[in-house]
Amino acid sequence: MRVARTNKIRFWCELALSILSVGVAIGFLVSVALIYYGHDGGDMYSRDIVWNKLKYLIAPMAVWVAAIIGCFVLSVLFPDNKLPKAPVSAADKVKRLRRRMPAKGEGDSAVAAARIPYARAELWRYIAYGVASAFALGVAIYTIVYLADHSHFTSGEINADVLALVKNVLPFIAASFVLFVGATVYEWAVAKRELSGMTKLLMLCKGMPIAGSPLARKLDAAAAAVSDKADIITWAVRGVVFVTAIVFISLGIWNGGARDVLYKAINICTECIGLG
Amino acid sequence: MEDTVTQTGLDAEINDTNNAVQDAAQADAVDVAADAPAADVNADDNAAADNVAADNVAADNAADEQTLPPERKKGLRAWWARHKPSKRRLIQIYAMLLYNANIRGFISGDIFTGATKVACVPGLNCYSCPGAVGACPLGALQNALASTGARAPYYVFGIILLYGLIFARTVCGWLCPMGLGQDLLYKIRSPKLKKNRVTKVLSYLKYVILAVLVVGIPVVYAIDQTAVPGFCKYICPAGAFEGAIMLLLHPSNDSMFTMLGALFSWKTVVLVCVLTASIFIYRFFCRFLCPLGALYGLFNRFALLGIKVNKSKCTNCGKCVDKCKMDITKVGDHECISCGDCVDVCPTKAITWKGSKVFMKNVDDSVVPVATVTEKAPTLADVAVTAAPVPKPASAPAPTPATSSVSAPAAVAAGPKRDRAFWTKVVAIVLAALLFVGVFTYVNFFAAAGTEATYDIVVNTSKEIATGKAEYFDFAIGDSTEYIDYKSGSGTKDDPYIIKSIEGIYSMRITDAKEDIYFRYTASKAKEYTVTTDYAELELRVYYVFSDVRYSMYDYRVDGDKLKLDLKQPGGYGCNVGDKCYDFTLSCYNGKPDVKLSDFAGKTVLINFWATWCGPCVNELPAFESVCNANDDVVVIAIHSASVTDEVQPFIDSKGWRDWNVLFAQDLGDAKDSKVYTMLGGRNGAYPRTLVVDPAGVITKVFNGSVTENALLDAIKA
Repeated sequence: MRVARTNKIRFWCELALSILSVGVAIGFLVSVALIYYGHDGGDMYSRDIVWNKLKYLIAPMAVWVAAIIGCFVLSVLFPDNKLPKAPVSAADKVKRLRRRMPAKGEGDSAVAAARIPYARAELWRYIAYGVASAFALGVAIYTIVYLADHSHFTSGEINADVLALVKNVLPFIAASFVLFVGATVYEWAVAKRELSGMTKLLMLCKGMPIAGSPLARKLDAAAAAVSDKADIITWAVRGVVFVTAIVFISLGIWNGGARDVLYKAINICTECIGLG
Repeated sequence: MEDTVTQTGLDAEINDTNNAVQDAAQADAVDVAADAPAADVNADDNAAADNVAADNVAADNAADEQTLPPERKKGLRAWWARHKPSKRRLIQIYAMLLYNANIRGFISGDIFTGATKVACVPGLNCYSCPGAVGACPLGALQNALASTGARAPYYVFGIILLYGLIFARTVCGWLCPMGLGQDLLYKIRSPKLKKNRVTKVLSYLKYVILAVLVVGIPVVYAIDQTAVPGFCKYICPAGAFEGAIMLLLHPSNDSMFTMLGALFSWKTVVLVCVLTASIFIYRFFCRFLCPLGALYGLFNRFALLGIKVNKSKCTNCGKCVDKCKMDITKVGDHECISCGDCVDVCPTKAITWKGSKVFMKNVDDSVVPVATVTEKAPTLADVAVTAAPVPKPASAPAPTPATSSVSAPAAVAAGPKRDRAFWTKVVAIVLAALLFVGVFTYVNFFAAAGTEATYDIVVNTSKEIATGKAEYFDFAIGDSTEYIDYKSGSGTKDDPYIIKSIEGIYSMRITDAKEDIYFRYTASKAKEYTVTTDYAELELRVYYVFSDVRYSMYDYRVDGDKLKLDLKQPGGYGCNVGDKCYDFTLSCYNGKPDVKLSDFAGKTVLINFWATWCGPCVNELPAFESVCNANDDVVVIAIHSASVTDEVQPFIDSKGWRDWNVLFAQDLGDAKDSKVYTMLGGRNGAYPRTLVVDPAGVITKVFNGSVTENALLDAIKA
C-alpha cells in the first residue's frame, strides 16, 4: 500500500516536472518567435533584445532547476520501488521465434498444414514491408534525381534552394516513414495470430524426427566446415580498412586536405554554425 | 567472427532450435505441451502466456527484492550508491573536457587557433566552440565533400575510417559530448517514452539526414564551388550551442549579435526541441538525427572495441534487447552504442567486451557451451533432448563476477587474472591523465603563447630622417623612460631590438636614417597598449608573427607632436564603426595592379573578406559586383584572407569572375607587409565580413555574416 502511494507521489512529481520542462521549453520557443517576428527593421538580435525577452524565463528556470533538485531529493527519501515489468509483446515473441521455425519441407503433412496460417501471416507481413520498401526506394531515387538536377540549385539563394528541396522531397520521405510505421503497426496487430501459428508448429515439431531435412543438411555442412573462417574474414576486413585509412590520411596530408581542415577549424564560417 | 569465439554456426543452430523449444515451452510463456490437443493450443496460448508473464513479473520482483543490495535501501548513501558516476560517465566527462580543454577560450571569447585542430576528435564537438582543441569530424567531412572539386577528401575519409575501425559507435556511448548531455538530461525524472516499433523506424531518419544534408547538399553545391555544410547549417544542435551560443555569451563578441537572423532562430528552435525531447526520449538526437552515429554504425560489426555476443552461449532470451534503450534488433548491430547495459543482464554471460580476452584471459570460457556437436545429423527431437538444459560440468570454472559486471573494456577481472586487468587499468588511467594534462597545458599555455607571443614593431624613419627634416625622434611603448641603447646596424629584420616584457615599456632615440627599424616583444594579442612619439609623421607598423608568417597587426599613422595614440580609442584607427580605416596595399588577382586603400580617397569603398571554402562568402559576391556596376563612385575590394591562396585564381576563373569590376585582392600575410584581416577582421576570424568605408576613410558600417544587395545599397546611401 505504502509502495503504491510512494509510486503515485513519484508519478505526479515527475509529471509536474515534465510539464514544467515542456513549459520552459515553450517559453524559450516563444521568446525566439517574439524576437524573430518582433523586430521592426533594426537588428533582429542584440544582447539587450535577447535579455529583455529571456529575463521573463528566469523565474520559471529557477523553479525548474529547483524541481529537478526536489525530485532528486525525493528519490533519496523514497528510493525507487520497481514497477512491474511490461510483459513481452506478441510481436517481440514472434520476432524471436521466427528464425526457429522449421524450414519449408520439413516434417510431415501435419506440419505442412500447420505452416499454412503462419506462412500466410508471414506473406502479408512481407507484402507490407515490401510495399513500404518499394516506396522508400522510389523516394530515394526521386531524391537522388532531384539532387542530381543542378538547375534546382542555381538560383543563388542557397536557403531558398534548400527550402525548395525540403518542400519537394521531405513530404515523400515523411510518407515513406509513415508507410514503414504502418507496416510495423500491422505486424504488431497480427503478431498474436502469427504467434499462435508458430506455437502450433513448434508443438508439432517437438519429438518429431525429421531426418535428412534441410536443417539436418545444414548442420552437416556446418559441422564439416568447422573453422574460424568468419574470424579470418573479420580480421581481413579490419586490415583492409586500417590500411585504407592510413593511406587516405597520408594522401590527405599530401594533397592539402589536412591543411583545409585546420583552416576551417581555426576560422569561423558564421553561417555554417547558424549565426547567420 | 568476433561474436562466435569458441563455437561454430552448428552449435548456434542447435541452440537456436533448442531454444525455440525451450522458449516455446518456458521462457516465452507459450504452452507447447506435447500431449495437448492441437485444437486447444490457440486458446491456451494466450491465457498461458498471460499467466506465465504475470508469474515472470512476480518472480522477477521477488528476485529483485531478494537480490537487492543493501545500498539500494533508503538514505543518502543508498542514493549515492545508485547514482554515483559509472566508469562510462567518467569517461564521457573526460572526453568532453579533453575535447574542450582550451579554458582560455571561454575566458577570452576567442576560439583556439592552434595546430591541434588539424586533427578531428571522434565525437560530435563543434570546432567553433571557444574551448575546442580539435576539429569536428562531421563538419570536416562536409567541408571536405564541399571541396571535392579542388581536392579529393582523402584526409577526412581516412580519419573517419580509422575512428570507425577502432571505436565505431562506442564513440556515441563513451566519447561524445552530445551523448553525455543527452544522458544527463534523460536523468531528469519524468515519464519516459520507451522504444517501440515506431522509434525503430524513425531511427533510420539519421541515414536520410546523412545522405541528404551531409553528403547530398555539400556535393551538389560543390559543383558550384560553394561550400554548404547542410547539416551544420540547418540542424546541428552542437554547433548552435557550443559554437554560436557559447561565442555569443562572451561580452567581447557583442558584434556577433548583428549578424543573427532567421537561421539562428531556426537553429535555436532545433536546439530547444532536441534538448527537451532528450528529457523524455533516451538519446533523441543520437537515435533519430545524428549522421555521425549513422556513419559509425556502419563499422560496428568490424570495430575493434565494442560489444560482442558469443552465439554459442546465447539462448536468445531477449533480455539484452529488452534492457537496451537504443533501437537495436540485436546486440552489437548498427544501433548499438556499446554502453554495456546489456552485459549485466545476460543470464549466460554471452555478452562480453571485444578485447576482453586481452585484458581478462579465459573470460569466454567461464560458461560452457550449451550444446555439443554430434556426428549424426540431429533431428529436432535430438536437439531438444541433447540441449535442453544448460549443462555445466563440474570441472568448468564458475563464472567470475567481473565477466558479468564488467563495465569497461579494461575493467578489473576478479580471481587469478586480476593482476593483468588491474595493471591495464592503472596504465590506462595514467595515460589518460597524461594526455589530458599534456593537451590542457599545451593549448592553454604553450600554444596560446605561440599565437599571441611575438610582435614586431617596425619604425619607419625614412620620411623624416632621411630627408633631413629631423635629427632624431623618440619612440616609446607605454610610459617608460628607459632607453634601449641604439646600436648602428642593429634593429634590422633579422636582428631586431628585443623588448623583454609586455610591460617593459621602452623608448629610444633614433637618430639614424633607416628604412625600417625593428623591435620585437612579447605581448597579448588582445592587449591594449599606448604608443607615444614626439615626432610628427611617424609611421608605426606592428606585426604579429605566427608560424613564421608575419602578419600586420596594426598599421597607423601618428599626426602631431607628442601625440598619444590609443589603439582602441574611438575615432582613431580601428576596425569598428566610427574608426578610421587602416590603409593597406595588396596584390590583386586577375592580373590587375596592386590595390591601395588610400588611392580611393573620395570614393566609398566596400571591403569584403571572403574565402573559397566559405559558402556564404561566395554566395554573396555577385551582390557586390552588382553594386559596383551600378555605382561609379563605389569601389569593392574583395580580400581573400584565408591561407589557401594557391587555389583562388583558378577558383575565380572557374566562376567566371575574371572580368568583374570587383577587385579581388590576396592577403598573403607576407606580401606587401600586411595581413589586412588581422587589422580589420575583428575578433575570432568570422567570415564573411564587410566594411563600408566612406570617402573620408571612416568605417561607417560593418556587416558580420552574409549581406544582401539592398543592405549594401542602404549602407552606401547612409
